[in-house]
Amino acid sequence: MNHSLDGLTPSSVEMPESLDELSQTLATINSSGKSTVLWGGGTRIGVGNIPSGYDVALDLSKFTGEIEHEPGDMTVVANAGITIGTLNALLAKEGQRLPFAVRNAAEATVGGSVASNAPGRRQSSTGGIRDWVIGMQIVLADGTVTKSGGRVVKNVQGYDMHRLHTGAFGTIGVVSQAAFKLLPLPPEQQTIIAWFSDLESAREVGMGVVNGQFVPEAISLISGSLARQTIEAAGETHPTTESWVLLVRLGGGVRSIERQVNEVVGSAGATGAEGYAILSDTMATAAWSKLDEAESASDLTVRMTSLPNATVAASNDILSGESETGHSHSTICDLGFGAMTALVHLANDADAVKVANTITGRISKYPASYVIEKCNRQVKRDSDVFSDVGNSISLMRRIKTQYDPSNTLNPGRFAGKI
Amino acid sequence: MPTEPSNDSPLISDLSAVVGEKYVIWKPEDLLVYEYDGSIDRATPQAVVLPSTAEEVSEVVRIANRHGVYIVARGAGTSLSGGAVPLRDAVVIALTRLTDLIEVDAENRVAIVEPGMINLHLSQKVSHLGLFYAPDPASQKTCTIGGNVGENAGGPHCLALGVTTNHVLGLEVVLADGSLTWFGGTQRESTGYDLRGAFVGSEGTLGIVTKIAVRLLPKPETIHSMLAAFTTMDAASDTVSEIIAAGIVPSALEMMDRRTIDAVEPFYHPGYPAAAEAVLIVKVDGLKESVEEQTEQILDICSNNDAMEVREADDEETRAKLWETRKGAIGAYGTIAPTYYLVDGVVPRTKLREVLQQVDQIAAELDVTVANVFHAGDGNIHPAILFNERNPDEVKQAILAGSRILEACVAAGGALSGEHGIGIEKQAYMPLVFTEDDLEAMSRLRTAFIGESPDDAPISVPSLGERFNPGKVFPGGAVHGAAYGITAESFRPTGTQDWQ
Repeated sequence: MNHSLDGLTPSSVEMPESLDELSQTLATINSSGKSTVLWGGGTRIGVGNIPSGYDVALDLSKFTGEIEHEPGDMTVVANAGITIGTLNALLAKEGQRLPFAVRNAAEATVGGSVASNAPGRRQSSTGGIRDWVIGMQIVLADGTVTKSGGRVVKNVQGYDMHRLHTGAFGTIGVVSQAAFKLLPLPPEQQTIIAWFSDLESAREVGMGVVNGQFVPEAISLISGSLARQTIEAAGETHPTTESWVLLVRLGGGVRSIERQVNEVVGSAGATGAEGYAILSDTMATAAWSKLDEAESASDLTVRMTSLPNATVAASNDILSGESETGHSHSTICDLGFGAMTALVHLANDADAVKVANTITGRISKYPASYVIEKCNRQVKRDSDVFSDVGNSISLMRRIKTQYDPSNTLNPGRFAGKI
Repeated sequence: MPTEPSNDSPLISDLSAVVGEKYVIWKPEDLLVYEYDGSIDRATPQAVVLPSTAEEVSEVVRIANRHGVYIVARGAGTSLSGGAVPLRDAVVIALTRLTDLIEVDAENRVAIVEPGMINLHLSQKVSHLGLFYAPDPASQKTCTIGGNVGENAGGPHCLALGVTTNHVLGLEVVLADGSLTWFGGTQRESTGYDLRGAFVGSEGTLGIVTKIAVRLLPKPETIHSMLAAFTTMDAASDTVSEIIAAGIVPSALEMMDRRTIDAVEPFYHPGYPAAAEAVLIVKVDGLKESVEEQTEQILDICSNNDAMEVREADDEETRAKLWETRKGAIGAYGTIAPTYYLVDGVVPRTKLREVLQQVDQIAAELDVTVANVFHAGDGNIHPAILFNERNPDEVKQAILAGSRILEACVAAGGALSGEHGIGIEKQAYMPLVFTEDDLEAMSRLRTAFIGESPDDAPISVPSLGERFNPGKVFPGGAVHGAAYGITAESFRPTGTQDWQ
């Protein structure tokens, strides 16, 4: 793997395979006053500000070890380098899965996903990774190995350091191992696509579903050119006019799924959907994959978390901003979780800063947080890719100082350029 | 030694100037009710203040800083772990006047509440919107949501729905310097460190929460409860394992042992079979169709494990009847002994049977009476050690038995607490689970929160790191049972958990 990042190339790459090696490597980096950027599978390495120092790449993809799965307890413990795909394949043998999904699961690692709080479509039903981490092993900047939480599904013993490290982007310690609570695989799944000629109808149906009697596995409201592409990917014919798409995946037993399908389809029909389809497994996979492909192909990606209805309103604002930026915008709202991902295909790179500012400006009208997840170096130089954290920034800086006083770990990459 | 408070002491008059004389308690006889929290440990505060706004809390913290006194925030005092017991002559900030439901957003299912709001009141207040607040500790009729945040409280329904931290979106907190800050917001996730996640369950040692943004959930359309009686605890435990193995996550899965069945019989007359050694209560809820599917499976599993009797309830009245023995169990222990010590430990679900046998052995060896009612689904056991508080020997035996039970939980790969917290009760056991490095890493978080000593703090303030709720969580802060002659030397917790 090439470990260059944001135009910086490290002078060395370390790939520890054991906890001792990891601890010693970190201790050496720290005591020699060097700085390091942590790597997992590299799928989200671009998320973050430009490192203020980058001497050593500390790549944990070989720190795999044994996976400890206890099916009866519905828990699993895995080292940072295990991929989410490998882990889920093992869990599936016992009819279980990680409650959260991430994109590029075949490459994304446990450590990287936890540290970067990787989002996924199933957040609609199960929330974020933080909700499922029950314990953690953390190697501090000076190489000290520590832990918090436990391996049982419920524990209140000492501070929940594992939640502090989830989404901390490795700036206050290295997530070397995590323990997760698991969920059973649903017996059946079914995806429905419905498309609308106006946003309000799509919103009404979508919000009705998330506030209803069942929790969909995933529910995305898609707009812009991606909406039409998703309809096509699902094997349906899209209308010539602008469309908004609801893509809903349901899970449960046979009778439960039947009822859920009837409710979603009934509501879409009654609320003036232009069309809908209950998708075969193949078409369902194609439709969901289209969203992932669009995220991979995007030149500029901003992810907002807010109240569900605010994500829809913001998505409308961002679409209407196309005339201002002159570039093609699409959005995906996760109505169950309250997240919106804005994707921009840039016709020319030079406009990136202007487009990023337009989008973050429109998001900032709402009570929201955002992360510019994908952008060019110009944008990173011009702004903080994380939204302002408010007056808790001074406390966050004190936390960084407590755990990494010499600024060894991912320096400058986090919110507030911590 | 601090000066004896009186209404004209500088501290009392400064506090009165902020909240009004009526809301500053300083007379020894009035302070008594703030000495304890349902555990066996107690300590008298220097004074109790009852602010009515976040700004007043902030001002009280500033005054405490100026006078160099410690602060203990208190909700309803139901932690059972000594969490709210005010050590070090602290001033107690009771949050019982901050009870408002500030905002409800039904469409986005978010509410903002004040910390003194009683847990059950929130669900009652949003019920007409078809919503409820999921964490439901057994004390939900009295405990406060602020206290729940401090302890990361659970309850029967956290098996399927998660504990407090999974339902808190944002917190307004008064920090050590008296400033007000929001951690998180009304959205599910925020940028920066997850300070809300670090704060929930910190047992009041990092700051004082003054507003809480929480998630609300839609009330399920169908609820079905089942109660099954078994001739052995093993059969009941197998039933629990098989339900989970079938891929069902019930919304609650609770168990009672023989001694508990005996205790509840005279109160509620449930008429359980005479030969029943265990009673299991299972609740499933949600979509009618999925409840039906799961109910069929669960009834099959109960029958395969030779359940002697199965009762079902699908309307509210019958359900309340079916649940009343579980909910009233702990109160019913009063018929067996004057006092109980409710131990809170967690074991991996697959080790439940083994650890419950050890609990029996420990009770026999130490000649104490133990009754069990617990959250079987998530392995959170609550052995109640029954004793007479007036007999110091019984108290000591109870504490000793509690320590042995916790050691057994830890040895089985479990945790020291599922929902009551560490407080005073379990700090001596923290080294069973955590190394010095682990604890030192945790204490750095507290140092970051408390920050530097305020400029105007008197130099006489010892250990500023302990500004909030001193002597809690970390080992060495206080001795559990000190009032009964227990000393630090009485405990030598042995064994460690091989976690790494």
